[in-house]
Amino acid sequence: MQTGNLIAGIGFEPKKWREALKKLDFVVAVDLFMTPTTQFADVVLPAATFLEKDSVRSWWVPLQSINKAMSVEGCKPDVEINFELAKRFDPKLKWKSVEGLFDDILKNSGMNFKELREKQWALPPEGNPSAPYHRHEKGLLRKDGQPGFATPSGKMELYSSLREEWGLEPLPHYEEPPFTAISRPDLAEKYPLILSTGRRSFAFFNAEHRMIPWLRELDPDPTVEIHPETASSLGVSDGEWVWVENWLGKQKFKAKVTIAVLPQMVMVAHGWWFPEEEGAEPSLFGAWKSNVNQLIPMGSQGKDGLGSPLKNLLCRIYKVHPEAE
Amino acid sequence: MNKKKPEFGLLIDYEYCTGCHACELACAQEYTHKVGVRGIKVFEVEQTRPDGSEYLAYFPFPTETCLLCPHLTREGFEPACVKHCMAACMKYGRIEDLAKEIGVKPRMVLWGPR
Repeated sequence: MQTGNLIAGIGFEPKKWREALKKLDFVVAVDLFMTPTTQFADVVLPAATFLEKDSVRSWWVPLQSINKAMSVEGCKPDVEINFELAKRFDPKLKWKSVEGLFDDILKNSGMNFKELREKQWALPPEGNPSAPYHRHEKGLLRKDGQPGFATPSGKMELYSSLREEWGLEPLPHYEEPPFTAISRPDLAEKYPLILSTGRRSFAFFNAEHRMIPWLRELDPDPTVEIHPETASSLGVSDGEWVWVENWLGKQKFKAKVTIAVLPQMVMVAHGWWFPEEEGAEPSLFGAWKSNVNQLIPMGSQGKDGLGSPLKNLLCRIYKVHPEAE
Repeated sequence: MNKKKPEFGLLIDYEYCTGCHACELACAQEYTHKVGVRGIKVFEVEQTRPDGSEYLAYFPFPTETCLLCPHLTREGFEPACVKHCMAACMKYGRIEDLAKEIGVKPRMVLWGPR
């Protein structure tokens, strides 16, 4: 597992992921920090941050070199770990070194890693097919070199002939999500609020950064945003701890009463765990108590295999009564 | 007691404050104040207007702790919060110069330190 925190980060129904991880013979985790997920690893390799490694950034423009500014003992960049592994899997690996790999990635630019490093960054030269506008007019998008888009008809297809061939709805359309008051009125009766998640925190990126004191100070608790009317009908005030519950369980969040959400929905913060708490099981840095993903079912993608009910589940909310818990 | 008027201040154009708190973090990094003590704090203001519509705004409020980063301004740099505001909401300068800019658009505040 490489910089992945599926117990507290992206995994739905994370207790199932715990069971899956426990079934594996040998688990290696590569990460910057100890997380709930690294608790299941037999070996944890400390990864180098971007300040501690040489690399290239070749997506979008400009082309850039990442230059190592410092070293921390015992930490290795992901690319070096992967390179060592690749050499074991394939003794005839075409690259001799990580720098050779960078040179290969960069070869279309006419520069090698050393040269890019000296330049620091570079824009594509005039007329390079990676950058110009109106590429469809110049025949730069299609394999046959003809003007047009890379579709069977060469046109921009609002009616997608490829999707039709694959047995999917060819036109843009609306499909009712699997757990709403319309698709599941039986559930909505018991869980009347729309449960939405994924609001970005100004302090954190997804499940990261909870252990950085300055950032944690800005956004200390996992919150659920509730409209003032809804909060008042539930008898909940700003700053009170509430349970967010559905058929998969209940999780604890701090109410943030705000007009930023509609009265019929609540917005639950995601990616929460508590690096300051006990890491060993059963606590797992508090990963089971305020993790909205425990309320999100696995396996409910759309027909295309895409999408999940992150924004439109159902829940109910009630106050946490500390003496009763 | 020194009752000198403040010479330098901040012009805060809070219309474009997104509530990102980068100014608070910049201030925290610049000084070593205790948790909760900051030279600047971002406040969120929510109101229902008389016509029933909702109003949500953010305001970066320089607190009593703010010294306007003299160690930086002396060297010709901006105070940490001004430097790190991604929405360029704040401008540092002589109060008499900043005063000429206030009123060119709505939702601006001119602030002088203690």
